[in-house]
Amino acid sequence: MAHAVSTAARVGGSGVRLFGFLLLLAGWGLALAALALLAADVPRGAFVLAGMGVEIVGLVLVIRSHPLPRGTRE
Amino acid sequence: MPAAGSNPGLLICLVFILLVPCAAAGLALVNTGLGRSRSAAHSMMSSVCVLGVAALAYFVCGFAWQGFAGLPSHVASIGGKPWGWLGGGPFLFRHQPLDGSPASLVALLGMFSVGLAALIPLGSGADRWRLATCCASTAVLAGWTFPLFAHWVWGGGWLAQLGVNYGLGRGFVDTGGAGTIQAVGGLTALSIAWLLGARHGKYTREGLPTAIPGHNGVLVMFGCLVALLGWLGLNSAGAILYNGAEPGQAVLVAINTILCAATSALTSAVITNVRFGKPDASLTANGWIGGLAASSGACAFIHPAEAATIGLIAGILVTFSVEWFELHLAVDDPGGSISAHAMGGLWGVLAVGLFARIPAISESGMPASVATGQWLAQLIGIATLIGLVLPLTYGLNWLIDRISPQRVAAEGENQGMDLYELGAGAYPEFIVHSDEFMER
Repeated sequence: MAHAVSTAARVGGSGVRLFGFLLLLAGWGLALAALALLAADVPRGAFVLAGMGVEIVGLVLVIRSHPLPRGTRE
Repeated sequence: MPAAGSNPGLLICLVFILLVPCAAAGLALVNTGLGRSRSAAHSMMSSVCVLGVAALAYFVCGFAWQGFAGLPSHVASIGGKPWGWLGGGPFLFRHQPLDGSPASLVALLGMFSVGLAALIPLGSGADRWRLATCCASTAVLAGWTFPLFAHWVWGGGWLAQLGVNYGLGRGFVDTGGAGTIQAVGGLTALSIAWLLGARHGKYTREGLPTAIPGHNGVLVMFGCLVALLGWLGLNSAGAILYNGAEPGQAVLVAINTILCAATSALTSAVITNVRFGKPDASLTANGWIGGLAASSGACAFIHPAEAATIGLIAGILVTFSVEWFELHLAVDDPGGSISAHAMGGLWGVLAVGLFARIPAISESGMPASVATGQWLAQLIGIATLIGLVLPLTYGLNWLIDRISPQRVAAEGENQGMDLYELGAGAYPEFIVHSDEFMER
């Protein structure tokens, strides 16, 4: 069963995309900071997971910022 | 270090490395078979050119920046710990004896590996990616993106040193390149699919995707079988060179590789049979390749039953993510490269942390107890791939696109890449029917 891609879900343009990519980099920075700042495995792991959470938010923004394919078929 | 001629282990490793081009040949066949017949010659031509450009770029600067443990590298001190960021060797293989020493075998394996990574985006850019710009994109991938990450993982860089510096298991482990080859290539494929946009006729005006089936299922399935041979060499050589495995351990690596691919492909076949009434050949092929990609992470450190489990999960992941990318994210990926390589590869990296039993290295350099914290090292590797490699490869390809548009003109897409860019089709004796995928 095919689903139409939600046009409402698509937001912004290059500005949102840039912000999304910056969030991806920020999430990676958080993961690196966990290594340098924390010693125990558990808080380190929590910090790294938080960084990956920021990356996921960035990824969602990047996905939504890309224009929908132009329909060329009835 | 002894050369391959005087060390049987290194000689066996050399034989494994010489199998790796079979993986490239297999991927080229899969990508071509899953594309349209009017772009088939262009697809194979692109594969050959991409392999050539990748080898040259890696020769010029790629290996110098990748490096190898023990070779010069640029190191930054962060929090009192050394972080290797980039290889610092001379360009053009200068001062690098090519005599069968471990460093020279790494150079040869790297040259084949970077070609394999560069072939992956051809699947997602099929039927609309210009030959000149896909060569430019490959030069950037092989000359910069791949060597950078490969240095961190295989060149003694900061990811490899997570164990020594921060007590995270053995550091980031990636035996055959699940992250370094498959995920890096797969994330580049995602960037290319975004930048090129969907093929003409792929989506209706209402946003519904339409099926554009691959033109030759035989090529696709034969490509899967050829790729297996290459992966056996890739995983075995990686285990020996990067993880210090004994040559005899290649038996375990080979069994794990085939089990992972087999369960993944069978899972895809069963899922599509249950959902659609018949097994889908292209998704089964994607499952096979995804299983191979996932096997590359932990193949040297797991029991065969665990390899089968990793393959089972890879099959589920790849099959559903193909649909997810096409239906919900509107990403047109004709070859399924993003799902098979990026998703399969990232899963393979994570699987190391979940399943692998990797002996820690004691201060004397000898194996000690089983390492702890491996899962965290793998998570940091995944965070690096998504958080740094994806923006980097997207940004570099965006720059290429600004200088010279990567997508072929509409006329070329309608005419077919073979006639438009090469002047001759792959199947000149075939009767050409009207294109049922195009608006009339």
